[in-house]
Amino acid sequence: MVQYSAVAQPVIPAPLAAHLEPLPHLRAGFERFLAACFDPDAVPAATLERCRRLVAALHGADPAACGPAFAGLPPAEAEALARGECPPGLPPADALALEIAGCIPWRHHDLPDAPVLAYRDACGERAAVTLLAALAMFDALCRMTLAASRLEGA
Amino acid sequence: MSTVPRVPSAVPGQPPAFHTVLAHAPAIQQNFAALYADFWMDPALSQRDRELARIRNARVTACGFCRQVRFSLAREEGLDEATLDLVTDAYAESSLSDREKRILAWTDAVIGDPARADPALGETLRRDLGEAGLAALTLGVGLFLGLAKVLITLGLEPEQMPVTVLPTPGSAAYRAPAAR
Repeated sequence: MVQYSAVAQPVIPAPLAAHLEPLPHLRAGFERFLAACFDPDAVPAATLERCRRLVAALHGADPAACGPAFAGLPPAEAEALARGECPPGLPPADALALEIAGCIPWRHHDLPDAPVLAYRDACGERAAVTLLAALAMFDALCRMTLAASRLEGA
Repeated sequence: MSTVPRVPSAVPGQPPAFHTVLAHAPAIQQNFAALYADFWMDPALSQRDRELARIRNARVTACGFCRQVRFSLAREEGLDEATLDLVTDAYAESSLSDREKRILAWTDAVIGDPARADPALGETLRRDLGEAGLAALTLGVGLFLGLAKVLITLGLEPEQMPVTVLPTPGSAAYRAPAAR
């Protein structure tokens, strides 16, 4: 698996960055906040990448709308995620992360306690908080980018 | 929905709350606090416009905490409960101004189905709010939605909560020690 340097690249997708251009100080602050949420020291880059791709798929969007790539994935795994499916054979923590991620875009109130508590117990409190923040911001970023992209044609 | 915290407080002696649980990831907590304060103090959009969008998100996203909070500066500028009562699914037929209805429609576009956001609505809002105002609205809605989902999925929604006025982030009252 190829590991990418997530912090070295812009976090805000280009159409949204252009939309936020009139507010450079807020855009810079948003960039810093997102970089803190997408922290590969707290949640492994491959986990973030799997979740980013699943959230994008649930929006019917290109993964780039949810932020930068964090890691390379095997093609079969990427294809399953693009179909909105959890690939087989993942580490247990990643399967839990994807179970949580699947609820975020449209069913956030339906998320049961079990996968969150199991992820917290397996990975720790910092990882659990970071994962939930990352998932929520993948979702928000995707929505904001899709909306900003619609404005480009206006 | 869970109203039982899924992650304990990171601050000894303090109960689980948004800021004490987020403290497990200090960079997230600190960068969010700085951004949110800057956002609310930025002049690109009025306090009233921001608060209307925030309340719309809180009600659609069904965040039991966010929908009971009112921020002080919008309140001081006259945004009352009777006006906020108009921020329902029927706001298009309400007595809110056309401009305010468009702000709510853009809020709905981002938190609903953004791939169908109406470019004509965006263009009209550009004229209403200016480029910076529209950018601030999009950023605000994204933050309102994202942080509401963090709070909800952490299990930090209160069982019950009265309408509560809090100092607007970044305001003088917010920064004053007695207000924290």
